[in-house]
Amino acid sequence: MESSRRRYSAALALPVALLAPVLLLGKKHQAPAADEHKRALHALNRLTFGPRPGDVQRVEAMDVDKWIELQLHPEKIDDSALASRLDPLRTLRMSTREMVEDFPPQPLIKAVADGRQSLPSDPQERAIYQAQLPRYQQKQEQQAALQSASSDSGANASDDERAQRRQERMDARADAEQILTLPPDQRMAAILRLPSEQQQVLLRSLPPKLAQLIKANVGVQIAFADIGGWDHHVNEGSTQGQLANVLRDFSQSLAAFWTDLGDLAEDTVVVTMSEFGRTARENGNRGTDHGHANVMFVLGGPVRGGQIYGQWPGQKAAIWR
Amino acid sequence: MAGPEGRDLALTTDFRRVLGEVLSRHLGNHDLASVFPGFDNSAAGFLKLLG
Repeated sequence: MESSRRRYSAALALPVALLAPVLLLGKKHQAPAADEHKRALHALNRLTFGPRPGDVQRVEAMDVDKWIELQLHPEKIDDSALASRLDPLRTLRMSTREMVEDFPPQPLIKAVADGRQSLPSDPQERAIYQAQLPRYQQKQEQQAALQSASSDSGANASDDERAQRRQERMDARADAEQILTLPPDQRMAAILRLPSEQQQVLLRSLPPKLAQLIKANVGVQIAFADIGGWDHHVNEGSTQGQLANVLRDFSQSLAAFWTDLGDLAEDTVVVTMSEFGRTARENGNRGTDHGHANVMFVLGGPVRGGQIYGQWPGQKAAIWR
Repeated sequence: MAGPEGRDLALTTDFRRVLGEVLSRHLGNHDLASVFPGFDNSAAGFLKLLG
Protein backbone atom coordinates (compact mmCIF):
# COMPACT_ATOMS: atom_id res chain seq x y z
CA MET A 1 0.00 0.00 0.00
CA GLU A 2 2.69 2.37 1.13
CA SER A 3 4.92 1.58 -1.81
CA SER A 4 2.20 1.92 -4.42
CA ARG A 5 1.35 5.42 -3.23
CA ARG A 6 4.98 6.36 -3.51
CA ARG A 7 5.12 5.09 -7.07
CA TYR A 8 2.02 7.09 -7.88
CA SER A 9 3.54 10.36 -6.72
CA ALA A 10 6.70 9.61 -8.66
CA ALA A 11 4.65 9.14 -11.78
CA LEU A 12 3.04 12.50 -11.19
CA ALA A 13 6.36 14.22 -10.83
CA LEU A 14 7.48 13.13 -14.26
CA PRO A 15 4.79 14.91 -16.28
CA VAL A 16 5.42 18.06 -14.24
CA ALA A 17 9.08 17.88 -15.12
CA LEU A 18 8.17 17.38 -18.76
CA LEU A 19 5.71 20.25 -18.65
CA ALA A 20 8.21 22.80 -17.46
CA PRO A 21 10.20 22.96 -20.71
CA VAL A 22 6.96 23.03 -22.68
CA LEU A 23 5.76 26.05 -20.71
CA LEU A 24 9.05 27.81 -21.30
CA LEU A 25 8.75 27.11 -25.00
CA GLY A 26 5.24 28.50 -24.92
CA LYS A 27 6.54 31.74 -23.49
CA LYS A 28 9.09 32.06 -26.25
CA HIS A 29 6.36 31.63 -28.85
CA GLN A 30 4.18 34.44 -27.51
CA ALA A 31 5.50 36.93 -30.05
CA PRO A 32 3.23 35.78 -32.93
CA ALA A 33 0.15 36.11 -30.68
CA ALA A 34 1.10 39.70 -29.86
CA ASP A 35 1.61 40.35 -33.57
CA GLU A 36 -1.81 38.91 -34.29
CA HIS A 37 -3.29 41.28 -31.69
CA LYS A 38 -1.54 44.22 -33.36
CA ARG A 39 -2.74 43.10 -36.79
CA ALA A 40 -6.34 42.83 -35.55
CA LEU A 41 -6.13 46.29 -34.01
CA HIS A 42 -4.54 47.74 -37.14
CA ALA A 43 -7.18 46.19 -39.41
CA LEU A 44 -10.00 47.47 -37.20
CA ASN A 45 -8.47 50.95 -37.10
CA ARG A 46 -8.14 51.14 -40.85
CA LEU A 47 -11.21 49.29 -42.09
CA THR A 48 -13.83 50.41 -39.56
CA PHE A 49 -14.58 53.52 -37.53
CA GLY A 50 -12.36 52.01 -34.82
CA PRO A 51 -12.64 49.01 -32.52
CA ARG A 52 -15.50 48.77 -30.05
CA PRO A 53 -14.98 46.88 -26.78
CA GLY A 54 -14.50 43.21 -27.63
CA ASP A 55 -13.96 43.76 -31.38
CA VAL A 56 -10.23 43.03 -31.28
CA GLN A 57 -10.82 39.73 -29.45
CA ARG A 58 -13.56 38.76 -31.93
CA VAL A 59 -11.33 39.46 -34.93
CA GLU A 60 -8.42 37.61 -33.32
CA ALA A 61 -10.61 34.63 -32.59
CA MET A 62 -11.87 34.56 -36.17
CA ASP A 63 -8.39 35.07 -37.68
CA VAL A 64 -7.54 38.50 -39.11
CA ASP A 65 -7.25 37.38 -42.74
CA LYS A 66 -10.62 35.68 -42.60
CA TRP A 67 -12.18 38.81 -41.08
CA ILE A 68 -10.71 41.06 -43.81
CA GLU A 69 -11.98 38.61 -46.43
CA LEU A 70 -15.46 38.96 -44.92
CA GLN A 71 -15.30 42.75 -45.09
CA LEU A 72 -14.51 42.46 -48.79
CA HIS A 73 -17.49 40.14 -49.31
CA PRO A 74 -20.14 41.69 -47.08
CA GLU A 75 -22.84 39.46 -48.54
CA LYS A 76 -21.25 36.58 -46.59
CA ILE A 77 -21.66 38.38 -43.24
CA ASP A 78 -24.51 36.96 -41.16
CA ASP A 79 -27.13 39.71 -41.09
CA SER A 80 -29.99 37.65 -39.66
CA ALA A 81 -30.29 39.80 -36.52
CA LEU A 82 -30.74 42.99 -38.56
CA ALA A 83 -32.92 41.24 -41.11
CA SER A 84 -35.31 40.04 -38.42
CA ARG A 85 -35.56 43.58 -37.09
CA LEU A 86 -36.30 45.01 -40.53
CA ASP A 87 -38.74 42.25 -41.34
CA PRO A 88 -41.90 44.05 -40.13
CA LEU A 89 -41.08 47.08 -42.30
CA ARG A 90 -42.70 45.76 -45.45
CA THR A 91 -42.27 48.97 -47.47
CA LEU A 92 -38.53 48.26 -47.61
CA ARG A 93 -39.26 45.30 -49.87
CA MET A 94 -41.90 46.99 -52.04
CA SER A 95 -41.38 48.37 -55.52
CA THR A 96 -42.38 51.98 -56.22
CA ARG A 97 -45.40 50.70 -58.11
CA GLU A 98 -46.54 48.54 -55.21
CA MET A 99 -46.11 51.44 -52.82
CA VAL A 100 -48.19 53.80 -54.96
CA GLU A 101 -50.90 51.17 -55.15
CA ASP A 102 -50.84 50.33 -51.47
CA PHE A 103 -50.56 53.90 -50.25
CA PRO A 104 -52.89 56.15 -52.24
CA PRO A 105 -51.81 59.82 -52.23
CA GLN A 106 -53.38 62.14 -49.66
CA PRO A 107 -55.47 64.18 -52.18
CA LEU A 108 -57.08 60.95 -53.42
CA ILE A 109 -57.97 59.86 -49.87
CA LYS A 110 -59.28 63.37 -49.19
CA ALA A 111 -61.44 63.20 -52.34
CA VAL A 112 -62.92 59.88 -51.21
CA ALA A 113 -63.42 61.16 -47.65
CA ASP A 114 -65.22 64.25 -48.96
CA GLY A 115 -67.39 62.04 -51.18
CA ARG A 116 -66.04 63.62 -54.36
CA GLN A 117 -64.84 60.22 -55.49
CA SER A 118 -66.30 56.80 -54.84
CA LEU A 119 -64.41 53.90 -53.31
CA PRO A 120 -62.64 51.71 -55.90
CA SER A 121 -64.54 48.61 -56.96
CA ASP A 122 -61.56 46.26 -56.76
CA PRO A 123 -61.93 44.57 -53.33
CA GLN A 124 -58.21 44.71 -52.55
CA GLU A 125 -57.93 48.41 -53.43
CA ARG A 126 -61.12 49.12 -51.55
CA ALA A 127 -59.65 47.50 -48.45
CA ILE A 128 -56.60 49.74 -48.70
CA TYR A 129 -58.78 52.86 -48.89
CA GLN A 130 -60.93 51.66 -46.03
CA ALA A 131 -57.83 51.27 -43.89
CA GLN A 132 -56.52 54.73 -44.82
CA LEU A 133 -59.77 56.67 -44.39
CA PRO A 134 -60.11 56.47 -40.58
CA ARG A 135 -56.46 57.51 -40.26
CA TYR A 136 -57.07 60.53 -42.45
CA GLN A 137 -60.18 61.51 -40.49
CA GLN A 138 -58.37 61.10 -37.18
CA LYS A 139 -55.58 63.38 -38.37
CA GLN A 140 -58.12 66.00 -39.51
CA GLU A 141 -59.79 65.94 -36.11
CA GLN A 142 -56.47 66.31 -34.31
CA GLN A 143 -55.56 69.30 -36.45
CA ALA A 144 -58.92 70.93 -35.86
CA ALA A 145 -58.59 70.42 -32.10
CA LEU A 146 -55.10 71.96 -32.12
CA GLN A 147 -56.29 74.96 -34.13
CA SER A 148 -59.24 75.70 -31.90
CA ALA A 149 -57.04 75.40 -28.80
CA SER A 150 -54.50 77.89 -30.12
CA SER A 151 -57.12 80.34 -31.40
CA ASP A 152 -58.63 80.59 -27.89
CA SER A 153 -55.52 82.13 -26.37
CA GLY A 154 -53.27 82.33 -29.46
CA ALA A 155 -52.83 85.80 -30.89
CA ASN A 156 -53.27 87.64 -27.59
CA ALA A 157 -50.78 85.40 -25.77
CA SER A 158 -47.98 86.07 -28.24
CA ASP A 159 -48.66 89.82 -27.94
CA ASP A 160 -48.51 89.46 -24.17
CA GLU A 161 -45.29 87.52 -24.45
CA ARG A 162 -43.72 90.15 -26.64
CA ALA A 163 -44.71 92.88 -24.21
CA GLN A 164 -43.29 90.83 -21.37
CA ARG A 165 -39.97 90.37 -23.19
CA ARG A 166 -39.78 94.09 -23.87
CA GLN A 167 -40.37 94.80 -20.21
CA GLU A 168 -37.73 92.21 -19.24
CA ARG A 169 -35.18 93.82 -21.54
CA MET A 170 -35.89 97.25 -20.10
CA ASP A 171 -35.62 95.95 -16.54
CA ALA A 172 -32.41 94.10 -17.34
CA ARG A 173 -30.90 97.22 -18.86
CA ALA A 174 -31.85 99.21 -15.76
CA ASP A 175 -30.37 96.49 -13.52
CA ALA A 176 -27.20 96.37 -15.62
CA GLU A 177 -26.80 100.15 -15.44
CA GLN A 178 -27.16 100.06 -11.70
CA ILE A 179 -24.64 97.23 -11.44
CA LEU A 180 -22.16 99.15 -13.60
CA THR A 181 -22.23 102.07 -11.13
CA LEU A 182 -20.68 99.75 -8.55
CA PRO A 183 -16.92 99.20 -8.33
CA PRO A 184 -15.94 96.28 -10.66
CA ASP A 185 -15.09 93.89 -7.84
CA GLN A 186 -18.57 94.23 -6.32
CA ARG A 187 -20.58 93.69 -9.52
CA MET A 188 -20.64 89.90 -9.52
CA ALA A 189 -21.68 89.87 -5.86
CA ALA A 190 -24.52 92.29 -6.72
CA ILE A 191 -25.74 89.98 -9.50
CA LEU A 192 -25.61 87.00 -7.16
CA ARG A 193 -27.77 88.86 -4.64
CA LEU A 194 -30.59 89.15 -7.18
CA PRO A 195 -33.39 86.55 -7.07
CA SER A 196 -32.45 83.69 -9.37
CA GLU A 197 -35.24 84.48 -11.85
CA GLN A 198 -34.02 88.03 -12.18
CA GLN A 199 -30.46 86.77 -12.59
CA GLN A 200 -31.53 84.62 -15.51
CA VAL A 201 -33.36 87.49 -17.17
CA LEU A 202 -30.35 89.72 -16.71
CA LEU A 203 -27.90 87.20 -18.15
CA ARG A 204 -30.25 86.49 -21.04
CA SER A 205 -30.55 90.17 -21.89
CA LEU A 206 -26.88 91.09 -21.57
CA PRO A 207 -24.70 91.46 -24.69
CA PRO A 208 -24.02 87.99 -26.06
CA LYS A 209 -20.40 88.34 -27.11
CA LEU A 210 -17.88 86.96 -24.64
CA ALA A 211 -15.61 89.95 -25.11
CA GLN A 212 -18.41 92.35 -24.28
CA LEU A 213 -19.29 90.29 -21.22
CA ILE A 214 -15.75 90.61 -20.04
CA LYS A 215 -15.82 94.34 -20.81
CA ALA A 216 -18.98 94.66 -18.72
CA ASN A 217 -16.68 93.42 -15.95
CA VAL A 218 -19.29 91.44 -14.11
CA GLY A 219 -16.69 89.01 -12.87
CA VAL A 220 -16.41 86.54 -15.74
CA GLN A 221 -13.20 84.68 -15.06
CA ILE A 222 -13.37 81.71 -17.39
CA ALA A 223 -15.30 81.40 -20.64
CA PHE A 224 -15.40 78.61 -23.17
CA ALA A 225 -16.17 78.59 -26.88
CA ASP A 226 -15.86 75.78 -29.38
CA ILE A 227 -15.63 75.33 -33.14
CA GLY A 228 -16.86 72.10 -34.71
CA GLY A 229 -16.39 70.65 -38.20
CA TRP A 230 -13.01 68.94 -37.94
CA ASP A 231 -14.13 65.45 -38.91
CA HIS A 232 -12.59 65.05 -42.36
CA HIS A 233 -9.87 62.87 -43.79
CA VAL A 234 -9.36 63.99 -47.39
CA ASN A 235 -8.97 67.26 -49.34
CA GLU A 236 -7.54 69.00 -46.31
CA GLY A 237 -5.64 71.53 -48.42
CA SER A 238 -2.71 73.84 -47.81
CA THR A 239 -4.54 77.15 -48.32
CA GLN A 240 -7.90 75.88 -49.63
CA GLY A 241 -9.50 72.68 -48.40
CA GLN A 242 -11.49 71.24 -45.55
CA LEU A 243 -8.85 71.59 -42.86
CA ALA A 244 -7.41 74.82 -44.27
CA ASN A 245 -10.87 76.42 -44.21
CA VAL A 246 -11.67 75.60 -40.57
CA LEU A 247 -8.17 76.65 -39.57
CA ARG A 248 -8.73 79.99 -41.31
CA ASP A 249 -12.03 80.43 -39.42
CA PHE A 250 -10.25 79.55 -36.22
CA SER A 251 -7.43 82.02 -36.82
CA GLN A 252 -9.78 84.85 -37.86
CA SER A 253 -12.00 84.23 -34.81
CA LEU A 254 -9.01 84.56 -32.52
CA ALA A 255 -7.90 87.75 -34.27
CA ALA A 256 -11.43 89.23 -34.03
CA PHE A 257 -11.71 88.29 -30.36
CA TRP A 258 -8.35 89.87 -29.72
CA THR A 259 -9.37 93.12 -31.44
CA ASP A 260 -12.68 93.13 -29.54
CA LEU A 261 -10.93 92.80 -26.20
CA GLY A 262 -8.99 96.03 -26.69
CA ASP A 263 -7.01 96.98 -23.58
CA LEU A 264 -8.43 93.99 -21.70
CA ALA A 265 -6.27 91.73 -23.88
CA GLU A 266 -3.40 92.69 -21.58
CA ASP A 267 -5.13 90.86 -18.73
CA THR A 268 -6.56 87.94 -20.70
CA VAL A 269 -5.09 84.56 -21.53
CA VAL A 270 -6.57 82.45 -24.33
CA VAL A 271 -5.72 78.76 -24.50
CA THR A 272 -6.75 76.69 -27.51
CA MET A 273 -6.86 72.93 -27.54
CA SER A 274 -8.52 70.03 -29.34
CA GLU A 275 -9.54 66.64 -28.06
CA PHE A 276 -7.78 65.03 -31.03
CA GLY A 277 -5.01 65.95 -33.43
CA ARG A 278 -4.09 64.65 -36.86
CA THR A 279 -1.81 61.78 -37.72
CA ALA A 280 1.70 62.90 -38.61
CA ARG A 281 1.77 60.50 -41.54
CA GLU A 282 -0.55 60.70 -44.56
CA ASN A 283 -3.37 58.19 -44.97
CA GLY A 284 -4.03 56.33 -48.23
CA ASN A 285 -6.13 59.21 -49.62
CA ARG A 286 -3.50 61.93 -49.30
CA GLY A 287 -5.20 63.22 -46.16
CA THR A 288 -4.68 62.61 -42.47
CA ASP A 289 -6.76 60.77 -39.87
CA HIS A 290 -7.62 61.61 -36.28
CA GLY A 291 -4.41 61.37 -34.35
CA HIS A 292 -2.88 61.23 -30.94
CA ALA A 293 -1.35 64.45 -29.47
CA ASN A 294 -1.63 67.92 -30.97
CA VAL A 295 -0.57 71.51 -30.58
CA MET A 296 -1.97 74.04 -28.08
CA PHE A 297 -1.81 77.80 -28.62
CA VAL A 298 -1.58 80.22 -25.69
CA LEU A 299 -1.97 83.93 -26.30
CA GLY A 300 -2.47 86.91 -24.06
CA GLY A 301 -0.87 89.87 -22.34
CA PRO A 302 0.95 87.86 -19.67
CA VAL A 303 2.24 85.23 -22.13
CA ARG A 304 5.93 85.09 -22.94
CA GLY A 305 5.09 84.62 -26.57
CA GLY A 306 6.78 84.08 -29.88
CA GLN A 307 8.20 80.70 -29.00
CA ILE A 308 7.50 77.00 -28.90
CA TYR A 309 7.25 75.39 -25.47
CA GLY A 310 7.77 71.74 -24.62
CA GLN A 311 10.29 69.51 -26.33
CA TRP A 312 10.44 68.74 -30.01
CA PRO A 313 12.32 65.46 -30.18
CA GLY A 314 12.83 65.70 -33.94
CA GLN A 315 10.61 64.37 -36.69
CA LYS A 316 11.63 60.73 -36.40
CA ALA A 317 11.57 60.56 -32.63
CA ALA A 318 8.27 62.48 -32.54
CA ILE A 319 6.36 59.48 -33.86
CA TRP A 320 4.66 57.43 -31.18
CA ARG A 321 5.93 53.85 -31.27
CA MET B 1 -7.22 54.11 -26.94
CA ALA B 2 -5.89 52.35 -29.99
CA GLY B 3 -2.25 51.39 -29.90
CA PRO B 4 0.58 53.08 -31.74
CA GLU B 5 0.79 52.49 -35.48
CA GLY B 6 3.83 54.57 -36.24
CA ARG B 7 1.79 57.45 -37.63
CA ASP B 8 0.81 59.44 -34.55
CA LEU B 9 2.75 62.07 -32.68
CA ALA B 10 4.14 61.10 -29.31
CA LEU B 11 2.75 63.11 -26.42
CA THR B 12 5.37 65.41 -24.89
CA THR B 13 3.33 67.86 -22.76
CA ASP B 14 0.21 66.99 -20.78
CA PHE B 15 -2.55 69.58 -21.42
CA ARG B 16 -3.18 69.74 -17.66
CA ARG B 17 0.30 71.19 -17.25
CA VAL B 18 -0.59 74.11 -19.59
CA LEU B 19 -4.04 74.73 -18.06
CA GLY B 20 -2.59 74.31 -14.57
CA GLU B 21 -0.06 77.07 -15.11
CA VAL B 22 -2.72 79.48 -16.43
CA LEU B 23 -5.10 78.61 -13.59
CA SER B 24 -2.48 79.02 -10.94
CA ARG B 25 -0.40 81.96 -12.19
CA HIS B 26 -3.05 83.98 -14.06
CA LEU B 27 -6.25 83.22 -12.14
CA GLY B 28 -4.55 82.65 -8.80
CA ASN B 29 -6.00 79.21 -8.06
CA HIS B 30 -3.37 77.35 -6.09
CA ASP B 31 -5.47 74.30 -5.33
CA LEU B 32 -4.73 72.53 -8.61
CA ALA B 33 -5.08 69.11 -7.01
CA SER B 34 -8.83 69.66 -6.73
CA VAL B 35 -9.07 70.77 -10.38
CA PHE B 36 -6.98 67.91 -11.77
CA PRO B 37 -7.20 65.13 -9.19
CA GLY B 38 -4.38 62.62 -9.34
CA PHE B 39 -2.13 64.75 -11.53
CA ASP B 40 1.12 66.13 -10.16
CA ASN B 41 0.88 69.78 -11.18
CA SER B 42 3.59 71.32 -9.04
CA ALA B 43 4.90 74.75 -10.05
CA ALA B 44 8.33 73.25 -10.73
CA GLY B 45 6.85 71.40 -13.70
CA PHE B 46 5.31 74.48 -15.35
CA LEU B 47 6.57 75.44 -18.80
CA LYS B 48 6.92 79.08 -17.65
CA LEU B 49 4.56 80.32 -20.37
CA LEU B 50 3.56 83.37 -18.38
CA GLY B 51 5.92 86.23 -17.56
